[in-house]
Amino acid sequence: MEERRILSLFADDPKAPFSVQNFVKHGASACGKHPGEWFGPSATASCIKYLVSTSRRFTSLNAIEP
Amino acid sequence: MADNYFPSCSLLIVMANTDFSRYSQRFVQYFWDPIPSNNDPAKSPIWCLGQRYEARSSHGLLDIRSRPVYERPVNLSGSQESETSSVGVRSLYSAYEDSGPNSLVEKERGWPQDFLDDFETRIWLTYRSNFALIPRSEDVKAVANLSLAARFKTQLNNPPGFTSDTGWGCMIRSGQCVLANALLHLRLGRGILTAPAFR
Repeated sequence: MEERRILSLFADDPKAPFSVQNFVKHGASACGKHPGEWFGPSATASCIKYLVSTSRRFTSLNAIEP
Repeated sequence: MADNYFPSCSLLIVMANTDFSRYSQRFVQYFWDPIPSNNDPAKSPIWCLGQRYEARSSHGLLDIRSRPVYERPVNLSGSQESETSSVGVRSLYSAYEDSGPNSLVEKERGWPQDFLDDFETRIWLTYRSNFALIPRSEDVKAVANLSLAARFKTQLNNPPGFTSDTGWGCMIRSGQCVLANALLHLRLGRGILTAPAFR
């Protein structure tokens, strides 16, 4: 079921492409957000763009960051 | 001085203990975060991601049969806080009450059924606990940027990091919701997912 597959991409597991762990990781390396620190919309958008662009499944998707 | 700190310390201790019993969690939810009702006396239209619903009657402007309806084989709302390292999709009702949606509850809350179907189709991601450890930053300056609750939690924890994002992960979860619903829309269109057992 497609919905389940989409949900599994967001599992709280470093192996899942859009997990909270991966958001925090990119936030720390590129957005100056240490783990535990609040994200703003800009850091979040940056993470979405990065994680989509580096995920193997969605190479055809373009995330546009305002 | 100590008296001033005590109430906030006990609140932080409660916040730091992420494993609420179900009872105390419901108690907090009832007062702090009650189930939203549609209290608008004018009964203005309700919008959900570009789709408009009339609040006055139980059917929206569009005939709901004209919208694609997909079978959702499993009610995923079973995976809630008790599940470790997983994402759960909650229906508006199962998050707070063990009964499934029924027309009596809906009438009390004032939400039209077709709006609820649409709204509950959306993927909702929220705070989770007991997930794979996110190590704390080694940087000394990192602690200064944490909220008081997050700082308190990291000092209590033996593993040097976070296994829960309560209190600091809300924007990350919001971003996940935006992306998840965008993917849902791209893959499955703008239709409604229904669980057969609820119809």
